Order: sequence, then C-alpha cells, then structure tokens
Amino acid sequence: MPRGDLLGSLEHVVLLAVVHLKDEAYGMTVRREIEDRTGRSLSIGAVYATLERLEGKGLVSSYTGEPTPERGGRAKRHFRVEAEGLRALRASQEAIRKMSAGLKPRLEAP
Amino acid sequence: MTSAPPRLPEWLFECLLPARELEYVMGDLVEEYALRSRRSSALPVRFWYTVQICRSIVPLLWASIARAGWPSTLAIAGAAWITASAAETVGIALLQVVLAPQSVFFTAASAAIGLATMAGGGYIAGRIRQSSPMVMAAIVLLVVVGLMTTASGSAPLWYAIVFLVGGPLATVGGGAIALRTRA
Repeated sequence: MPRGDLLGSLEHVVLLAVVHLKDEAYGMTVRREIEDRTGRSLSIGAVYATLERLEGKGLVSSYTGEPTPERGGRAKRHFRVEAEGLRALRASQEAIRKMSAGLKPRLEAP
Repeated sequence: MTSAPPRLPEWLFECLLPARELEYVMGDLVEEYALRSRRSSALPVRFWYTVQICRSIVPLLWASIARAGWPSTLAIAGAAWITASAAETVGIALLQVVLAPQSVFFTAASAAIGLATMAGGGYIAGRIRQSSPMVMAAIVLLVVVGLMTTASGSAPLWYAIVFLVGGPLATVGGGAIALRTRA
C-alpha cells in the first residue's frame, strides 16, 4: 500500500474486525463483530466486497476452509491480516490521532 | 429445530451471482440464519435473511465487475447489446414481410422479438463474462429511457413499458441461464 494512501472508513472497520477475530475471521463473524461493537448492521455482501478490496491491496489474505453441515455443505472463506495490513492500520490510526489532536473539548461537548 | 431459509431470495442470488461468491456468502447466511432461528421466531429471521440477500447483491456484483475489470466488462456488455440489437432489427424486418406494420399483432410480435434478442444478448454476455449481463441490462435500461424521452409517441405506451421493465429483466434472465449452465 503506497504511503499516504489511507484506509477508507469501512476498510478500517473491517480490517480491525479481522484483527480482533484472529483465526475466526470469515464473512459472518466479521459482520457480527462490527454489529456487536459499533451497532452498524452491514450486509454480508458489503463485508465480502470490502474484504476482497483489502485482499487486492495485499492487506489481508484468504484461504478456504472445510465445508460443514450447518452451512449446507458450503466452505468458509477465512481471512487473516498481513503485515502490510497492520502497517496500514497503524498509519490510519496515527493520521486520525494527529487530526484529532486539540479537538477533544469540541468532540466531547454535548 | 430450525426452518429452512426462504428459497426465493436464494434463487435470486443464484441467478445473479457467480458460483465463487455463492459458496461463501450463502454458507455464511445459512449459518447465521440457523443461529438466529434458535433465538427468534421464524418471521423476523426470514425477513432478516431476505433483506441481507437484497442488500448484498449490488456490492457483490460491483466487486465482481471490479475484479474482472470495468473496461473489458463494459466492452463485452456493449458488444452483446449491439449484437442483440442487430438481431432484433433483422427479426423485425423479416416480420414486416408477413405482418402489416400498423397491426397490433405486429407490435406484439416485435416486442416478443425484442425481448428474445435481449435475452439472447444477456446469455452471450454471461457466457463470456459472468458480470456482463447486469452491465448490459443497465445499457438496455438507459437506451429505453433515452428512446422514451426523445422518441415519445412513435410507439404505444404499453410497448415502451414492456421494454422498460422487460428489456433489462430479459437480459438478466439470459445471463442467469448462462450462469447456471456454466456452473
């Protein structure tokens, strides 16, 4: 990922969910993790489209799991964050921290 | 015991999305459907499932087109539309030999030819590139809207409405047949 190319807000949230979930990151768990933590209900399609974009940028990688009966014999597509993904997260978090500096009283005002 | 997920939205997904997307996405939805069914009554869970599918179609199609590349997908869709339009022109020209152009039968038969050729175009586009039929359907919609606004009065209103609704649907239907025969 080129320097200065920051993550989009949805990419940021999805990538953080993958980091939280570790080995259990696949479409459904990522969607639920975001819903549980932020209250934002995403469609499974939006989650996969974002994960695919992140994979295209080399920030996550995916592998196919075994088909299971509770999924109607369909396989899971697991995702894991790559070193480049962690770097991109750090850069995005840092940019947000710098941009928020000095704004605490205004942001916390009722 | 949990009920089976509603079949109609699932069928819609199967018609519109390549098998690659279906495997993981449907697996996730079926898994979450079963989890939610244990905690809630059937109706809200079925509603949730249907809404999830409807909301997922556009981002997944968009991702599928982006993966394949917009310029080539657009080129395939455009070429399929031109081919279908050429076949439609030939078909209507042949129809003029057997039916009087002012008759209702001629208008109805030409509408049927138009829809059949759009379905054929959608099928060809789908055989070449899985995401192309939806792009072709968008082209058909734009052309029909364009013709309705610039050449209004040259054809009966019902004819224009049939093409406005049926044209994109026939294209997607042709693409769905191609998708299912490829899988």
